[in-house]
Amino acid sequence: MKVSRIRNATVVSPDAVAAQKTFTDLFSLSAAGPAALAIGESRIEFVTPAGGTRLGEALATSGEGMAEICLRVADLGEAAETLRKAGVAFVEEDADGARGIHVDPGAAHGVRLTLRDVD
Amino acid sequence: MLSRIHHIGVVVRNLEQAYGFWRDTLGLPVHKVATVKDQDVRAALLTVGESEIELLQPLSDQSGIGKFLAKRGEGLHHLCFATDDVGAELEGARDKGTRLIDKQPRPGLAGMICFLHPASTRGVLVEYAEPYPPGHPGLPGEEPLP
Repeated sequence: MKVSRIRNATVVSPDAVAAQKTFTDLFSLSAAGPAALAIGESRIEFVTPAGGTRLGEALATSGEGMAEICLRVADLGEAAETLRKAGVAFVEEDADGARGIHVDPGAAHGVRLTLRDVD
Repeated sequence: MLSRIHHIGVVVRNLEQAYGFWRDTLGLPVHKVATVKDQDVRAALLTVGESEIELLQPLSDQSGIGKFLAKRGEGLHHLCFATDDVGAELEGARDKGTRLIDKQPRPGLAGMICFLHPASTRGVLVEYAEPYPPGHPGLPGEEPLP
């Protein structure tokens, strides 16, 4: 598997707009889209997740905070094949036209980890 | 000025077990392993682009990382930003009324570091790190690479 960088870290909050403003004001990071801030080759994304979703569960159980990281891979199909061969459970998902792999947190040492091959 | 994500800290029960996923499956190379005595932790740094994944294994139940593991289990722990002046960042945070964990920068595995309190940063434990200059010996306790 070819992993090139941390694509984003995701902060979940009951008020994602306010959370983004906190990070903008404190860290002087510039916007990278409507709900993200740029930092080097990565982004910090801010989400208010719906209840019952993967990130909604994170917000409900752990509260506001960093809930997920996403790594940029060269080829999602190759990444899926590598995970299968290693016996790692995962779910493939299309969200807003962007395919992603959500690795089972049990395999990723408790980390909600997504792999994507698009920016 | 913050330039990049220096690393993302992940608490694990055992470094050697964690290598099976983070190094062997994802293919992230381990470039440093060290015991940080004052934190009672073993840490491994794995390269990912311009950043790192920092795996943290507690060496006692009473350490900060040990308490985190007992309470919340394995998982994401902190987000570290790289800076060229950790002292200036700390002063800037203080001036903005941010709650601080460290009142002064201190030596860490990633360089001179300090932590901000998550109560001021939306529940995210944030670290600043000013990497050591080239040739700096770093912290004692470095182990051979696995």
